[in-house]
Amino acid sequence: MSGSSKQGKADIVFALVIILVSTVIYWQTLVQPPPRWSEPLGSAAPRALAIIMAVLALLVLIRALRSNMRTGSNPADTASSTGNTATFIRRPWLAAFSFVLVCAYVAAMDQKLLGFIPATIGFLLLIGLLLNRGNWRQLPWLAGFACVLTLACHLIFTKVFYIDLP
Amino acid sequence: MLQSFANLFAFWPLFYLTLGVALGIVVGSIPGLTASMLIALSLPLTFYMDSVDAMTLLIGMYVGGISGGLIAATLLRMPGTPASIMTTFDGYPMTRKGQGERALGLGITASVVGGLVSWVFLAVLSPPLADLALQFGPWEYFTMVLMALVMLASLSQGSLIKGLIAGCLGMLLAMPGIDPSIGQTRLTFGWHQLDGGLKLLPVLIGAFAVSQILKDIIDIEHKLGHVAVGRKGIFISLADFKTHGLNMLRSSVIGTWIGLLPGIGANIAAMMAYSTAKNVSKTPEKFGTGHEPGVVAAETANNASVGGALSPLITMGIPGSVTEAILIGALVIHNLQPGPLLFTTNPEVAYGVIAAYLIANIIMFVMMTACVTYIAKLIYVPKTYLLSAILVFCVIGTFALGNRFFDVWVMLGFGLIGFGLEYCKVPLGPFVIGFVLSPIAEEQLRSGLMASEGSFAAVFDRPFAVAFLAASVITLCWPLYQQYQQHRRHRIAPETP
Repeated sequence: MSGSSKQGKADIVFALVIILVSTVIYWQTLVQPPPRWSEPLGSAAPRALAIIMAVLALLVLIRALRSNMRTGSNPADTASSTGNTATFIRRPWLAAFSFVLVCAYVAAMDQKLLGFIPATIGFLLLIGLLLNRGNWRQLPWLAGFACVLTLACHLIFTKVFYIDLP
Repeated sequence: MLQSFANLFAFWPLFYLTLGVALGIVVGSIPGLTASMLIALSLPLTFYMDSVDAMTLLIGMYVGGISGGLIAATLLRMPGTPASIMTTFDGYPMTRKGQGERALGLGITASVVGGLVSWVFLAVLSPPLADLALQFGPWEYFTMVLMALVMLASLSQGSLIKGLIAGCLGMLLAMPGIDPSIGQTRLTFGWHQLDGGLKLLPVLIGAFAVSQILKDIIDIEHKLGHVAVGRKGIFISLADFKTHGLNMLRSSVIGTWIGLLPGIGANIAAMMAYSTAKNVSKTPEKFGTGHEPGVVAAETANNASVGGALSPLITMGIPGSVTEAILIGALVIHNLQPGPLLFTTNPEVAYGVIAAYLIANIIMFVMMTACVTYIAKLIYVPKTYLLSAILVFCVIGTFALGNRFFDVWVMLGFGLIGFGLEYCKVPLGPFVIGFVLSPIAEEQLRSGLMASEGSFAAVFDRPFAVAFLAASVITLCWPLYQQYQQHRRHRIAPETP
């Protein structure tokens, strides 16, 4: 897929999401009870912002649709914009897995399944292995790093800042 | 002011300042990590510090972060921070010619000169500016916030429309919770955890740190080439000052002026100074090929913009850029009201910031000159360890805010939002500044309307408010006018034989 058509699709999704958010916020301002006393602004601020945002998103949507149609009707544009010369492989799935792992780490502590120390050591080991793409030879280094970082954080937060960690 | 300098030379303030500068330089020199990220992540740790010490630490980080970006920009053509983008144009070609140390030496000296000149402006201009701002009423503040948002949206990367959407979205996301004027909850969707609104720090850490980490993980395969740095050429001579003095002075003034304008950051300052240096040069064709004035102009201006931007921050509470928006958050966290009254209610903080900025620049110069060869090695720290450690800091830093996991989930949510916005080429700057300025804008608009019995016409009775409004309209219309001119030229061109 060419860079410009990919951007065009991203713009369409972005505009649609913004229009949806604006609609939800606008609707929420309508169901809000009126102020208990006379007040000049009321819900006007969020309502005005939602309308402005929706109008601007509509402009982005129209522009993206027009640019997509132009790219689709002119194959030369697509061919000329495919010259992407990345010298390394991009790993979006790695970012997605890492994000899921962070969510799991937070959920484990939030649901009190694990305390800070075991959860953090486990998280650092797993994410370390994930980012090293399963290179087990790194495991001793990762384990040492995970233990030192976790204990240092625990010590600093509980003994210096007096914050109870989960 | 003198008292602030005296206070700064006690052990702990000086320690915090040095620590801040050192951390800033380290983080700024590592591509992918930015000063904003460092400052946002460090905010929770400053809760337990005295407010002056906290601001001292953060100012040190800011100065160090902007300056540290020079190293990766020069050696690898990878700007450590967005402010160093222009440095890559001539810094990297100089490295390719074997003049990397010379480029670093010039950049470091230019940075400190820019910092010192802008400090003079900061120290001289801030008190009278604060006096002037004391006369401002709600309409002036409201229109000034509007101007800051419009300027930032129009000058950020990407399109003006997307910048404006980002600003509106940031403002809207700051609105859930209890309406401060009427005491009723709004936009909470019946979710009681939102009654207190979204806190600033989870939003900042999510938008800047988490989204940046996700981007860095995607590009984790990017291996950096190795460049050795020696000490020869780091120190520049008096003759160099003669050669580059005028450029340094001009770029300092440009940087400070750009910094003073609300909403515009160091990258724009560097760009303007670079273009000016090129336009006035007798050899403009050499720019971009490893020409020394290019490095000098960019580095002087980006550091000078910091001093310029600190002025509206402490005198009016209006952030000059994203990093200043985070610094406003720091002031608020320490129960300080950024604005003209800061000089009256907390002069130790206002003057402390001014004093810290000067000393931070000097420390930065000494540290960078003495340790640049070692700092350059930090660029190659394995990303696996760095990114996973930062993720843990994000989680516990946000949790420490209020000992509740809701904030951590908010942070992760904003990490995704920030990542999504950047993927769609929507600038994050207006989003965050919109979030920070939204309560101020709404409060001032409401006060103005109450005073004028609901009439917007009252804004035209206030000259400053009219000026700010006019600047906003011009900033909004200028790109449209340029587009129209371009369109006209395209239409005329084919008709010309």
